[in-house]
Amino acid sequence: MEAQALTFMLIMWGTIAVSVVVCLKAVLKNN
Amino acid sequence: MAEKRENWGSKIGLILAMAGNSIGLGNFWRFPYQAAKNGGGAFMIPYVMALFLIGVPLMLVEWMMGRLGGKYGHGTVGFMIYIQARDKIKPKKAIILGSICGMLVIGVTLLVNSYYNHIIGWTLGYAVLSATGGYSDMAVSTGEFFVNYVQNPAYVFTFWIISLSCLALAVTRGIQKGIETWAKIMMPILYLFGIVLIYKALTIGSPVNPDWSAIKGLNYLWTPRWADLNFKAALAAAGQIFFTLSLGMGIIQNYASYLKKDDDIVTSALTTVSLNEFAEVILGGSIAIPITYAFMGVEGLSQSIGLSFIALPNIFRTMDGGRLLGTLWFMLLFFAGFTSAIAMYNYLVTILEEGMGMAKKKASLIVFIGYIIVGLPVALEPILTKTAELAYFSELDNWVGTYLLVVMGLIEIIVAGWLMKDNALDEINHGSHWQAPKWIYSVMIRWITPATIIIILIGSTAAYIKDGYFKFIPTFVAKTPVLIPWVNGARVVLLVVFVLGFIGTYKSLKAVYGEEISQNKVLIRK
Repeated sequence: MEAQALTFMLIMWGTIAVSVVVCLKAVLKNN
Repeated sequence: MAEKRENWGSKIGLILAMAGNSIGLGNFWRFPYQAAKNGGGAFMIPYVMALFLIGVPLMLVEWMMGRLGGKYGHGTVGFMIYIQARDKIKPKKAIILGSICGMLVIGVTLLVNSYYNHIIGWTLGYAVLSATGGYSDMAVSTGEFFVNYVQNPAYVFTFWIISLSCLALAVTRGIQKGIETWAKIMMPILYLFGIVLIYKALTIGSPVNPDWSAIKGLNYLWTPRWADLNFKAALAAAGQIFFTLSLGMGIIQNYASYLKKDDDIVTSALTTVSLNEFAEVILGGSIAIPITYAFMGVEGLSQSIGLSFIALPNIFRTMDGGRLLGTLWFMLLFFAGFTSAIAMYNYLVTILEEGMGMAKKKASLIVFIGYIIVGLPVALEPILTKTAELAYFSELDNWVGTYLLVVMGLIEIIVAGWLMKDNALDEINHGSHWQAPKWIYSVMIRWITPATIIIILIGSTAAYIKDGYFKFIPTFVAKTPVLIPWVNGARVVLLVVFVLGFIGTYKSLKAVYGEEISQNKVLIRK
């Protein structure tokens, strides 16, 4: 993959993955 | 009434049901198509902006509207808007606004599902056909096969009725035993199937042409093409946000109405958004486009819904393990569509339960019959006209599935930002683990989000005028006279549903709040 495409993809994937983990953790902790 | 309302059984059940509500067919076929068409990686800039400027604030407002409505014993939007607006504009005007919103949401939940249930039926039918090798005859192209499918009453009616019956069964069992249980089963399977499909997609290699591969497909999807980044792409991005998060449809509010009055909103709403984005950007973007690119190159990506029902089956029937992958792909679509359709079904059942005092079983049966009636033209048009243009479906989708969601979103955000007696932020933050900052209300909900939605609405209206959707004979059927009655039929159905929806909502509001409406003074508070 070209560097620019890979950068866009990894930024989006990384941000979303971190959001899912942080949000799920917070929700389940306060269940 | 409030005391009898059901509640969610567990937080994880609520989150999965809400995620299922948001995650639909659009995550898997609409998003990759829109992104590839509108600038690839560059599309993500207006997409992320729309997510933060419209998606998150509106999602918080819809959760808040729902929980507030549930406190008063209401699960439908007409009542929720009335309760929020009655202090500032007085009950006599609030009942009109509530009735208009009730009308729009009845239109959306009844008519969107009239064709959405068919697509779910197609995905189930194609899952069975994938498993049994039903479209493996290479003498028939998958395009012809799809046309034959939608013109074949046995296929269309069988899988449509099966899907509708499963929906009825799920809704009749209630919130905890029905919707929550189905979501707890279907959503983890959906994510699992998605991950298996991504693994298979990205390890395909270059089976047909050394210049085509799944990784090159990903490269195509994510390479920013700045020249394609224009107002049209921004409109597409904003439309995708409405569509993917199920905003402006009344179904987020309906699910949120089953929250307890002190339940968290902020964390739960943000979790729903992030799970939806995981399904859309990570799973949705990494299956259909890479597989299609590996087998057909960039030419294969030019189709939208055809990507799922024509291009991918053509690939599945030629590749190793294609039957299994085809089955997984169509089951994934089925689960995604099913968990959204339940929410629309439940909304209509709630109207009959709360507006007419009907038992859930009876209400569910009436909605089942209603969906058969409004869904019949979708099934009959290709069979009777021997076409596959789906004009009735397209006309409904243009209005209730696209345009009116934005109109509804605008009304909701204005009511929350300007017409509520109490500060909407206090209501959003009440009971929440994370607290939304003040600017979410004072800057976003009151100014930025409504302004952005107004811009989108103006842009969409201009695009609709240009594309001829406002014409008596819309441009898209002008050259196919046999389809004109189907488009006008869709408009008549829309009009009838709106008139009945307005009258029904007005009467229901009058029945519960008649006294305060006649005195034009708020009397009932909880």
